[in-house]
Amino acid sequence: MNSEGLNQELGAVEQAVAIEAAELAAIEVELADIEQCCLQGKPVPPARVYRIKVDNHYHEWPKAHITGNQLLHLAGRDGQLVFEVFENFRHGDPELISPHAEANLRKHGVERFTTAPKLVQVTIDGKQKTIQAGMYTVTELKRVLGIDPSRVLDEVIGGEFKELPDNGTVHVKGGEIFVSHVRQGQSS
Amino acid sequence: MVAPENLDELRAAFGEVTERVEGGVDLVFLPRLVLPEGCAPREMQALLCLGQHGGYTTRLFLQQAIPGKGANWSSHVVLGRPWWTWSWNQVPASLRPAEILAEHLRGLR
Repeated sequence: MNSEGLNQELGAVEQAVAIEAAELAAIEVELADIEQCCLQGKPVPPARVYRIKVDNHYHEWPKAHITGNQLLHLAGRDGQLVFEVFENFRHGDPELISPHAEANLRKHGVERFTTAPKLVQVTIDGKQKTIQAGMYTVTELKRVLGIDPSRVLDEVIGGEFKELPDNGTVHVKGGEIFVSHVRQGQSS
Repeated sequence: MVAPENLDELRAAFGEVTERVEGGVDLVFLPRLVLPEGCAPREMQALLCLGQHGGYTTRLFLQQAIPGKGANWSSHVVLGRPWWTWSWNQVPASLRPAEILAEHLRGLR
């Protein structure tokens, strides 16, 4: 790394340390329960630890900010299937927190966090079907799509039929086209 | 006549496809079909025959034969031009065109 890059990195570290120091200096209470603050209509004070509610379970978090991915991890929703996380307000609609975005735990009015499956549309045998995004085994995908396990499942990618072996995996992101069929053709 | 929803399914996968009829048999012209790995060339025009042809329940005609894949390749004139197909039978015409195509392509893997 050249000296300019090193200076930039040092600057970023200094800035992060300064923010951390300012947060520590501003601590007013040991623990702030954001749900209670919300219910009582009080602002969330700077605290050493924040008590947050995620899917009806309480967790303690040592910073005033938390990313979508960290919330999903707390909720145990960071497995093969994709979930979305929302911040829920006392008043108003829930807001989606993207995986790398940070939620401010001191933001007024945030009561709790909830997670929900990320649903996407795929096409199976010419029909649209809504399923949860994520990594599936082919066997599991057939079950979710309502396809008989004995049928062969192909994914059409760029105009090519690719046969999916039952012991393989598929990463469903939405927009995939699947065709199922029975093995019937044979050399004659 | 091919059901509109069945043509739509093929269009979603291959873009523009065209329905044709010859001798009372439905055919679907695929201007760009990608063949399974190991085939050379990988892309070509194709004609999916959705009914009986020469003792076969359904057939997939290709622009050219694929060396080393399939068996007993033969040439046929369909819709006024030559096509190539291999010996692959028992794919019923009762299936959806996409299923018929998938089953024929399995014969080239």
